Amino acid sequence: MRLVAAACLALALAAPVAAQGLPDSVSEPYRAYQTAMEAGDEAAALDPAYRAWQAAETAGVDAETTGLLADNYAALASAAGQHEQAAAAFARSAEILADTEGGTLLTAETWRLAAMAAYQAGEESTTERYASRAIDILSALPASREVSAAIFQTETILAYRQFDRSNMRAAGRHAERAITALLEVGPVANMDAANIAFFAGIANASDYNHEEAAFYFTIASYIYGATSGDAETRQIAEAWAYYSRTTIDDDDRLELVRRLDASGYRPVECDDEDAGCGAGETGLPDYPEGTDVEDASPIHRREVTYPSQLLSAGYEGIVLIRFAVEADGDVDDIQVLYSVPHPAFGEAAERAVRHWRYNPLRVDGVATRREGVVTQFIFQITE
Amino acid sequence: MISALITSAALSVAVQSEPGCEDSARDAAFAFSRSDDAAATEFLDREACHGNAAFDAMRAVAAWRQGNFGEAAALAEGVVISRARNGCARTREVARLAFIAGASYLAEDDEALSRYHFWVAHRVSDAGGGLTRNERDVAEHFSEDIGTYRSDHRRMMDGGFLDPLPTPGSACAGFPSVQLSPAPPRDGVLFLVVELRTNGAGRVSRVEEMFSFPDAPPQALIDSIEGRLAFDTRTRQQVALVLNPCADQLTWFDREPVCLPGYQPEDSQAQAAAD
Repeated sequence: MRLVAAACLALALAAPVAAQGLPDSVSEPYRAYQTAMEAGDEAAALDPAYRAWQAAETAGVDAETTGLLADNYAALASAAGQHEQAAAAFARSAEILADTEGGTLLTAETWRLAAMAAYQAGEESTTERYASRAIDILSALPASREVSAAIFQTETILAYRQFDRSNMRAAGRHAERAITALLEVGPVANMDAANIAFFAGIANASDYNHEEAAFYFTIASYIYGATSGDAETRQIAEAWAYYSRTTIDDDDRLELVRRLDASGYRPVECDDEDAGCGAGETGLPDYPEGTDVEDASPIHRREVTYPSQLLSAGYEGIVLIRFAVEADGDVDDIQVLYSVPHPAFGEAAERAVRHWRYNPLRVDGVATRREGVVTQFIFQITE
Repeated sequence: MISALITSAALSVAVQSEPGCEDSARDAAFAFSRSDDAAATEFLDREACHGNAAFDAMRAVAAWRQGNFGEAAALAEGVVISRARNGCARTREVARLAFIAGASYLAEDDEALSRYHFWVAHRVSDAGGGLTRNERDVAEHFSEDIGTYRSDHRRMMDGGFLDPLPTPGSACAGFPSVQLSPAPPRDGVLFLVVELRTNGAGRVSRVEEMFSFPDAPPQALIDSIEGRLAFDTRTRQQVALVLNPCADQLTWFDREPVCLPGYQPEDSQAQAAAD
């Protein structure tokens, strides 16, 4: 899963600077930048934008102008995929804003853009530092939809960063903060929101917080269902959401639906099972009227073995697995739907499931192959 | 001017002489309470009243009593929705109509809609009464998975029964009484929920009636269920049987369907053809 927040957000910040009164070393490249931008040639604008900013720094031009020039360059560098340079320029712009304006929403947003660019450049510690500056400012600002939106975007960057480092719990913490902020903004259905809800689900499932896991996985499944994401991801989210809802008791499930209702997110109208709607849920076909269906039930479950290398390295993990139960009760067609932070967890789960035995699904008394049994494995190191 | 006034007065008298839809519904409810289904049917023979909640509630009762479960389910569902929208969710009639919808959808093999309406019935009855203890147990049993499936969520969010139910206002009073029982509706139809226990050999060792409409199940019927071989040993489960006049929900291991005393499995086909 990749962070998809668009870099074009940065371009919106590109601002005009009055070239009059500036030293030639600044005004000349700035005019070249302006001409290229007016011609719609961002590639040609990149170099003069950089030169104008650097010249302003050298010539001791006023802070506000220098900040705007840094911002102009940062936006172009970001759009050009020069994330490292964009991060440095946004950070410089944010520093200047912090000095001149203090902890405003604009300052925080600029730190966030710096963090985003640093993340895209793969600069882990810089990402954390810039994002923390943004969060510090946002936390001190009066609550508003704009502030909540900025918190969501910043926490999202931090969640992705932790997820990339296989630190699911930390990713989950940031993801929960992101979703909390998002719910104050109102329901937003995009891939970032879906992925973040999914991270929060994984983190809570890993900690056996079944109610929270059910909430976040269900939100994720709603959003994936509403966005044009790939069908496989949607089915994984649906399967995990369904599984997690089966792990909570009736009262908690009622409370869950109330929370979902209050969140503003709703499942999309989706009654056509042929179109894949709900395909990730029970895995049972729609049998004709009057059919007597007795679902498969486990007889023997072999314990899963913790992968030794991951154990000694202190890694914990979580796996979602799907399999079929043959008419003779044997397990077949095992698929690891998700295994984080390492595929070895999924392989260990698969090895265990291969030896499981079931009472088969019975349809009108006839033992029948059962597709789509889903289960979750949590690999946790205890003292 | 004078003639216009006279015409208007005459019209007014003519309208008053035709009973309102609510009046017809109340008359039908009274007839049902006396097991006079023929009279009730006459009171409900007014197409112009279709869509009136009180009237449709009685049409739902009529369909339920006749074993027309598809029609009963749709009508009861419509009235439940309309009563909830009018702030009358927490009433005994809504609990009973939701039960009729839940049981009827179960008879129609629509588990999702059955689950939802039994949940509504149980929830409303908890708040404002309307169901007997056994009926509540049945409603609870057949709605225990509510919220597990995504398809439940929209119904629950949109239905008006998720949040605490408001106290019904005075406008909710006067709705005709909805009775789930007694009295036979049509010969050879029985809606029955039983709790079955199986012994170590997987045979049904005990059958306990949880809900039965329109009448108590004949002992011969209970006897015909006992001793059947089930899939699982030492289990306890509730099963809904729609005997019309036979039910095939207990046809484990190629056993014959369960039939009301005096009926044979082939009567089910004859009944279906007659319907």
